Amino acid sequence: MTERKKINSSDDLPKESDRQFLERTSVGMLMRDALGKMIANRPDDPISFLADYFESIEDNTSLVQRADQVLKMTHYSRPLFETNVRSAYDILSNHKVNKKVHGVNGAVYSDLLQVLCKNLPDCVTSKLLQKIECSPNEAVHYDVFKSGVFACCVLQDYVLLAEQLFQSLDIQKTGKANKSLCDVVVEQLNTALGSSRTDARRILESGYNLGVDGLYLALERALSRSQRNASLQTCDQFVAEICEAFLCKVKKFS
Amino acid sequence: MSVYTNEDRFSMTAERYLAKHHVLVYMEDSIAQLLEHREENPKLNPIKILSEYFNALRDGNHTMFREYQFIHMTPHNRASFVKLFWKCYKQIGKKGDLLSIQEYHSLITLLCSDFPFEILQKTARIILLDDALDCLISFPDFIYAFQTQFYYEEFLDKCLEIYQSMIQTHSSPRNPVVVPSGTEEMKIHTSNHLPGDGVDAMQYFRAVYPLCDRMNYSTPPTDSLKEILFNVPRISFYGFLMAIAKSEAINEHIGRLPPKAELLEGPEIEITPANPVKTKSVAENTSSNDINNSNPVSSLTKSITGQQALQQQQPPVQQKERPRSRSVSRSRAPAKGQSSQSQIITSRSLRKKVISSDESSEESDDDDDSEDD
Repeated sequence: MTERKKINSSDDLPKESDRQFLERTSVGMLMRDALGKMIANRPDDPISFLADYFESIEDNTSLVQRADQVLKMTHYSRPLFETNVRSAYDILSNHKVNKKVHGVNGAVYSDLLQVLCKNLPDCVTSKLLQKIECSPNEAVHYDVFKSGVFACCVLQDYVLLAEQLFQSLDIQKTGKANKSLCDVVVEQLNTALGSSRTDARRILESGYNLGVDGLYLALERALSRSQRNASLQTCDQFVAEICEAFLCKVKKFS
Repeated sequence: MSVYTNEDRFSMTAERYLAKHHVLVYMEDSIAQLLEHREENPKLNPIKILSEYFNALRDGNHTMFREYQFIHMTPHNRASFVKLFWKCYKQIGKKGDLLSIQEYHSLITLLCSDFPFEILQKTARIILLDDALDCLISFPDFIYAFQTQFYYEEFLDKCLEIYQSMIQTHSSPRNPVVVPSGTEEMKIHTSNHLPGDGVDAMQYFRAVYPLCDRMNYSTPPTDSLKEILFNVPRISFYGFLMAIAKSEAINEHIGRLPPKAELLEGPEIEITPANPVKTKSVAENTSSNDINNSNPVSSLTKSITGQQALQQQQPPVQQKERPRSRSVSRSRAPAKGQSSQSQIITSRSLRKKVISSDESSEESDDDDDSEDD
């Protein structure tokens, strides 16, 4: 209400200049901030970056949404990602636990993880959350927060890659691939992951088996073995199976 | 596509990065729009306006009723404008109407009042292969050729220069054709061709190739150009442009228009989804009977953009020099879903399906007028 009164009274005053208007509404400051963030993060699509930026300022979004936005500003392989995780954590630490205590607890942390995983299949999300979630009233340390967020981000890319892999397995482009082929890929992946010991030879071998040549050989063998009307598998099933291999590598928080 | 493919944007300087994406153009424009909007309505919320601006920008809904200079400025604007045209006038394509290039220009000036005719003329040359420019053109042919001409304007100009200099070398008797590792036979073979036959496609590709992937203007992907030029022995300039316009890969690369098979499918899309008052203002506009006297564009513009964030003053549209301006201004109506008026344009163009000379089309216009009243 106070804001409205101020504007109404300004009608009587001599009209403010454009510069005064921009200064009063701090548009210049916003633009500078947006530019700075953009140059630091170098988003692939600056226009949608700006749209998101002003949208988040416009409607007072929740802490979780703001943190999510900060985390999405840059890819996790960039050095700046670390800084962004830190500022996301700082945003979330404004969360009000009760009248006196502010900080990141398990509940708000899980909310953030949910938002981060919203593009993932539900079954994968729930399994991942089982592993990295904290109990709702527990205080979440920065290290825990960071590794949880990181796991989510890596899994996102992993799922994308799995979907691409499925596209190439789906030879007839029908949306369904030969199940025996999918099984071979999952099997290769699992054996490769199973051998992550100090044995250098096995590590090299598993690298080869997952490479283009190794995978091609295995797939060709499977294709010659499989019958004509072999059972089929959809992309979702395949992604879920591939994610299984990822999830068993995620350590559960005690 | 891997997430790592665009890595080089991190190594370029900040200025280069901003210039590549025309960020400063849009930031300046957003503030200019904000200030213009403020003159209308001093009690606005600047953050809301900016948010609306960038959202419209992201979705490509920002070019309606903007000045040509702005639309022409960035590739994103150009492609968005082509898409806007497609969205607005898809109905014409659905009915299978054929329009002349002047009529297409009139339709465009309803969206951008100072859009130069020259670009449309060049578009017509692509479709009609540089002759019989008064022919009627189908909507799909037009939209893809228009996209090619408008989006790759600078590239096409450079290509034309190269083409002409190659043709000149071929036809001029004083400068014999130099075929680097060619035999005498080949020389005779190449110089026997008339200029109209075009140039050697492979040679032309080699000349055009250095133009690709520049920063200052957009070019079609090299792979698509290879596909076009490696499969034919000789190519004429307009044949080359037509091939670009027809290439689905290039259309996909621009990424706004659907492939040709789906161009006319789908329900009619709302032009400005964030604008609930649109239907009302259109109704007001069409209810005024005297379309000839009132300026349909400026009144439409005012009623719509009064509600819009991106507001701007329109200079009145000049339609006087075109004899068909009346029927054309009506043809705006079918695009807005007015089926009764769309009958008019259908019946008119059905009669004109046979490519007609100028006099006969004048006649059919007169017929229309008597029927309408």
